[in-house]
Amino acid sequence: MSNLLELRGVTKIFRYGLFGFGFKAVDGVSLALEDKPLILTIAGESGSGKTTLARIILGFHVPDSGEVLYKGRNVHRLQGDDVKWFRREVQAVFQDPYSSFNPLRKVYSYLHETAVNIASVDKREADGYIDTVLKAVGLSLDKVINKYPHEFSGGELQRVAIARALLTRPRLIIADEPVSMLDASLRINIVNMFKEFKERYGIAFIYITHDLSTAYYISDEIAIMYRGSVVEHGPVEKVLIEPLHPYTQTLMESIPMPEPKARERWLKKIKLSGVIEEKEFIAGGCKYASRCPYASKKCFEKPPQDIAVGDRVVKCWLYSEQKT
Amino acid sequence: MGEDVVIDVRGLDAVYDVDVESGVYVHAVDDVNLQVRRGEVLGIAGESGCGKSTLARVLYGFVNPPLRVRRGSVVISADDGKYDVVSLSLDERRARLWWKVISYIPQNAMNVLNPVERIRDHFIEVLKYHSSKADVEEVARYLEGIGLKKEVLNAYPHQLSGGMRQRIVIALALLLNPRIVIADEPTTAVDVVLQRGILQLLVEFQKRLNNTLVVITHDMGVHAMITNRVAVMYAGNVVEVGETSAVFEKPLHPYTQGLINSLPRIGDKSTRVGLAGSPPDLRNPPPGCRFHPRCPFAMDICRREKPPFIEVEKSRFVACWLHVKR
Amino acid sequence: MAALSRTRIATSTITGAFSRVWRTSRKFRIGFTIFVALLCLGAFSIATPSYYKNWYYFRKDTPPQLTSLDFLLGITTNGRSVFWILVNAIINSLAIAAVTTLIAAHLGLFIGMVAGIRGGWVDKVLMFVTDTFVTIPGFPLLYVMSMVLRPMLTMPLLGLLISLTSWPWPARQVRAIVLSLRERDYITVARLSGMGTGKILASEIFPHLLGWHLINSTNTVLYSIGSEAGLAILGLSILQEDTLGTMIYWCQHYGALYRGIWWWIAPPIIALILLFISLYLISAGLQEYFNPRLRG
Repeated sequence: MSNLLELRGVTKIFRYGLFGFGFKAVDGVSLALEDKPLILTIAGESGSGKTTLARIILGFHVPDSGEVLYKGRNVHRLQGDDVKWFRREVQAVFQDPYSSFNPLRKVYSYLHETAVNIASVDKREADGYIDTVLKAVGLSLDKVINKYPHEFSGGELQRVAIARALLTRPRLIIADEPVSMLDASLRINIVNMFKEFKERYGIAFIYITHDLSTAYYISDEIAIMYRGSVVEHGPVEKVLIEPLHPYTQTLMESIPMPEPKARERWLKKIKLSGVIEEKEFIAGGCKYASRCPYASKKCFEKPPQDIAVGDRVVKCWLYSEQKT
Repeated sequence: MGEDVVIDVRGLDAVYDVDVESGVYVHAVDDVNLQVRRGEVLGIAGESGCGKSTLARVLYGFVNPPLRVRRGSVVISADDGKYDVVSLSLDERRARLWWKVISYIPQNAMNVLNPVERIRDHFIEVLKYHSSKADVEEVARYLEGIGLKKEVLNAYPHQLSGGMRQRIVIALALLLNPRIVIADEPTTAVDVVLQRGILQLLVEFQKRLNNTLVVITHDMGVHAMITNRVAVMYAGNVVEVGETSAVFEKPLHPYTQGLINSLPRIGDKSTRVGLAGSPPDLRNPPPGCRFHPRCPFAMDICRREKPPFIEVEKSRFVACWLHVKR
Repeated sequence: MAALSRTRIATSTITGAFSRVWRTSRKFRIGFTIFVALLCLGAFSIATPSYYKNWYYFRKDTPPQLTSLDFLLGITTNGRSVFWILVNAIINSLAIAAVTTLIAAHLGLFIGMVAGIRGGWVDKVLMFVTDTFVTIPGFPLLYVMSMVLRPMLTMPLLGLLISLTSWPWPARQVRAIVLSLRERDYITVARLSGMGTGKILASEIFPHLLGWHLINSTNTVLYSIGSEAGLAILGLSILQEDTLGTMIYWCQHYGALYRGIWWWIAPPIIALILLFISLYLISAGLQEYFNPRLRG
């Protein structure tokens, strides 16, 4: 099966300061998404590069090296009508519904634009079509029309944003922290919708988040990012239940579970850094080495490669002996 | 009651004035009765607009317009007697209670440090204000006890990472060994590994100094991990209180049930359902029980009358008509 | 048909917006009223009699008398009616300012928008040019250029000259606003909705800029009137024409103040002060409206 989306060695360097001192927000990321409806989570903390990666996939940042291929075509070299094709195939939903819409414009205008410009719906039929899609997210045209963003609650507005993305009948939706600004009791409704759209309409999702619980709940695959690199990637059942990379293990241990019984283990004392300077961005070795309990000399000297372990890929020297 | 109550909240009612002339206000805290017991870790849980942050501020006494307390009392049992925070003036609160008896760690605490002062000066200021001797060596030892090296004292806030600043704010709050510590969303802006470390720090301080910790957060996972008892708030009311394990295992209020059932757990892929609708506008809250528009069990009485907050089992309180025996 | 209704919509939007600003800010109300009053005074210039430019038409240095409009504000040392000079001066000063604003404010807006939205080398080049103009001291430049161009100086040309020194600031400001807006999620969503760059500039970015554009324009008018007055006092404006600045020049030239001819020097100074105050208040009022945090 060919790949729907392929990232090959994508690197993005952000420069700041007078002399262009740069740091790698995304460092040599390679991922492939098969051409079938599935949900891939890209998980990481803030500063891991996941949001930058999302914008690169969407074509809004140009990578400094590497390429992004959608259905075999380089996303950043598309011209003219091909761009329109790409926008039809790949859509996005962002974290804050209130910044996703211009506060001075009625939200309906975005729906209308998307329908007419990209989905190529005839102007006269736009209303009807938009109504159908809004119903799929639990809203309707009369509830949305003529209203400004501030007239909606966070959950409703995010649904409008999702509806907008669905208008083009995309094959892939990039959802960047779509529920982190919503109340916990509403989050599950939205992520349930993603699951439903995958099953019913065959849409693939790249779900970007720092919340591993919702990630586990809806994804098929997961890629864990740390400081711009993918450190572990594989089926979500394996990666989160039996994590291989030390960072993934630490993440999993640290999540506060809504189960009081797990308390004792969680309260076992961990050590936090007490010094001011932390040279995390050492040229050379593994980025996680300075925090890793298993770090060896090799880890500080040579950056680890992607090593296949079963149906997973781990970026860690611990697994260099095992070649299943 | 028998137990040692360190904060006794009775009939607390607080509002935010939107427009004094037309009498429009946001009814943020509605008739809250709550007792905080000495030496416990109490969690106040709830989602956006439930009033937990407002309640925290009123408990501490940090009440400025447009926030206004309409009724009720917040009685704190200090070593030298009882004080009703509501009836004290701001100056009296500052002089008698703040930092010494009760400490408050605000949301986004990492940003409250003065950017033009060194860390050392922050500590000296607090000590001097309460006419304690400003012994820098002792402060250094205090910080090393929580894993921060001495050199941190000479630094400016911007030189430190967010996590370190958070820990310093906690250290400042606990410097004078207050009896009660209120932490409002202490770890929301912080990554999950750091969150664990900071919460462990708070719990360790609590055990070591034997104080009372009140943690306000919307993150139910945090409540499950560190609190002894938890109080759940919805739309300005306290709807359920009980021991944490009991509340999680068998939530009594339909809101708590909906909330806890909606939380995904790793290892469990079974379908979960969340609550429908959204919290009410507190300028115009619904009559009767404020949860009734979203409640799957709403009865006629729920739409008309507010349910009483009653003790259904030992130490288990619920405000719901379903649990009121006729 | 469609054009007519569009004009109607535009007019009602503008009147709607105006009444909103009027209601919001007291500063705006006061400033606008004063400005309109001055404009009305200037409107008298339509009825200017043909002899008003003739020197020694009236007996010179006559104090004000209420007998006719000619004598309302007295007569200058040149034998001309102060009243008619004043009303023309107001209009002329405003006309020069209008030219300046039309050029400078819009040039600044355009450059700022393009630099902000395109970024890259376009931005670098435009900002280089802008910054060069910013660092060239404005008034000395004006001084030199008007000296050089004195023989062929007309009012529009003067307006153009002044605009050369006043466009950089709006450009920088607009660019800063565009840069901050560009990163907003809704711009990304607009692009994902298939809106082109032009459409995005017009419907997403421009409405946010409109407020600043109005404020910049008001400030430019103020700056222009002041610059012209400054140049005139130094004798570098168009002395044959009547502007508030040239009035003051001639007053000085004839030592009006020392000789007690207060009715000649007071009106232009008062008019200038009132103009400055009213324009400042209009600008501050607009700022209050667009930035609610500034509201008292």
